[in-house]
Amino acid sequence: MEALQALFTGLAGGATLALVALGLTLVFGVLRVVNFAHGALFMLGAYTCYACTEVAGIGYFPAILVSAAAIAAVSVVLALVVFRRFRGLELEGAIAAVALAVAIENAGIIFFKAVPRQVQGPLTQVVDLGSLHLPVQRIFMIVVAVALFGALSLFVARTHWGRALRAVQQDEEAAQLQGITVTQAMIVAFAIGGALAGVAGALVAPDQVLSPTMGTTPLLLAFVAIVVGGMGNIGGTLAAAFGVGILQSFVSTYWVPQAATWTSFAVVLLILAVRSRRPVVYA
Amino acid sequence: MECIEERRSARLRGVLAMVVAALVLATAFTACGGSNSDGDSAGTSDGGTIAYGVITPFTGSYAAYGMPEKASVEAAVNAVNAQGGIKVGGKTYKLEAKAYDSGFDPSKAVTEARRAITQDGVRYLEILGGELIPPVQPVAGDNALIFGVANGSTFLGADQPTTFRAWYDLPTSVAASLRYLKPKLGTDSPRVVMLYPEGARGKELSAASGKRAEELGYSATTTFTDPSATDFTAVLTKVLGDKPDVIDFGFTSPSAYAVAVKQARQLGYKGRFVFPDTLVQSVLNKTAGKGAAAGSVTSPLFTSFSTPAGRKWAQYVEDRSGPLQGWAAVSYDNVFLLKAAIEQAQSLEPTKVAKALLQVRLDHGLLGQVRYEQRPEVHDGYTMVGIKYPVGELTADGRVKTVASYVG
Repeated sequence: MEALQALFTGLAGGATLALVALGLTLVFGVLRVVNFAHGALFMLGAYTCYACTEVAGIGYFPAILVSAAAIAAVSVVLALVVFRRFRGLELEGAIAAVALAVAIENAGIIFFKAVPRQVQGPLTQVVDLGSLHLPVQRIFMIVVAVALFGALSLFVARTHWGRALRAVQQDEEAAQLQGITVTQAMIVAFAIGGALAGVAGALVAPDQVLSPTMGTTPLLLAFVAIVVGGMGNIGGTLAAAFGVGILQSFVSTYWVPQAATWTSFAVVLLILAVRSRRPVVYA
Repeated sequence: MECIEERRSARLRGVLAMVVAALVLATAFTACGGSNSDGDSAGTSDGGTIAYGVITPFTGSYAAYGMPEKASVEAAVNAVNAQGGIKVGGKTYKLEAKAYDSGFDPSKAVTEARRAITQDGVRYLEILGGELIPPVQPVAGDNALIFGVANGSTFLGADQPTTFRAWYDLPTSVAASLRYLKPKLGTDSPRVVMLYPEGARGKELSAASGKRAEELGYSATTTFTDPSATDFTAVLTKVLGDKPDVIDFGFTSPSAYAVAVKQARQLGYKGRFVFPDTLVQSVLNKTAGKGAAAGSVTSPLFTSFSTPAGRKWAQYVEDRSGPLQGWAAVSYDNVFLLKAAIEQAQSLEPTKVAKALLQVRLDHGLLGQVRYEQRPEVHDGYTMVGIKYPVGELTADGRVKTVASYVG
């Protein structure tokens, strides 16, 4: 039963991770820029939820929607003001993203005073199945993550803008020849990525303590999920995110919590070592 | 081709310039937000001002400790100045409090200590957090006396004659709580799990607390947690597998133990908790809900001050930092002990004041009669003694009532 409990904990952790990683991989697919500021967007999502529920007094479920919309807007602004200039420039784009992440985190420390905050969620019940205890908030996290993955998959496969995203991801020039505006595709990718980060932040808000640095660990683990699942691969990223969550949970439960993060990175190193059969060519 | 390379190079330079600008801006923001100065500069003094620096977290998971400590030191400084300041060599000095944000981060604490000593002329530093003191000690050297408002003792000793520990002893606090709980647990050999933050301090204190627990007939095990953790479900799944009767949070931060209490209850834990590093009720009630830790205990519980000075102090701290954190009383008494030591030494030299600090005592401090003393049975450094360990039990409506008191 302890293993089942650890499995459930891992699935819930993986659900949040999946939402962060999906946004990250979507942006990379279109812009070829690793958005290190994505963890900061996750943090902003959690604080937006806090502002809605604890300051403005609106309900938790509308707060999730507000978080999604607000962080999507922030993400699009960042895309247009900063990231648009670095399309295809992986190094420069990554450096700019790191700078943004630092600036947003420090702005958070000033604005939110870096005092830990709590959100009172409505889903406080626990489903008890013998010695297995399933907090409803965590069940909700898993359900929302899977539902959003389904919606994203449908969007990418069935809609005009979804196909446009895939086209830009596969061949930007060919996509432009087909009349697809890359800037618009970029806006769509950043809006979806930001919304997913906002939802992820709002989902963990009632379950954790909020701090301006809370986005760092999910961002690192999201990179693990993306590397394992394949950059730009939505289904692979989802599966890998749940895998990373479960690995974290089992390492913490059966070994020591301090080893949870580095074992995930050890897995990545192993996968990279096995995968990188092609010689690296420096130009 | 060269043209493209040049443009690319120019763009890269532009990017780097942006990054540097952003980092400088961010650092400037942090510096602006991280420190401040709040001294009572009212009145006159012919000797000038003595700066008392408080390096404490105003940000991060231990931020709940920073504001009460700052307010408490301010209250003491105001009281000292109101009583005529500090008299040395026929001159009168005003005391001034200067506050610096450590964020509970050792590297930031070192930066702030350096700033305090070299720029602000601080020669007496109060530092909250045992992990932060060892890296600051080389910076302070003989130029600044350190009051460690901290757990642990490995930073004390003969080679650190200007470092003092102004804190109750956490293992003694754990023992006081466990002694009170034992008859209520319904078993002769109750199990206690010690959930302590990882690090040198965590290892030292969990070992000492575990020893005290076993002396009281408990079976003790320790699990270390990531100090920056915000989710304890996986760790608790492991811990609850041992079927503990008591979970001792050691010096886990208030925001962290509040989440851990909530998650432990969600995982079906019915036992009690011990909060030996003071309880921040407001955070616990808000996060885990009132009554989530009913039947659990905390020690030392400093919430009731019957003397006029105590009531005035409590009101001052509550007005400025919200709910009273009783341990901030230690900081208050600390300032008066410093005043007595400087006047005893008739010198502002930290090394001379350190020697005098062992000769003075405060008869009517907030915590009673307190002084600094060497306690060889605990460690070979100097620590504040005379502190009682009242035990408080949490009630179902989220309040705490004093139920016992032990002398450490």
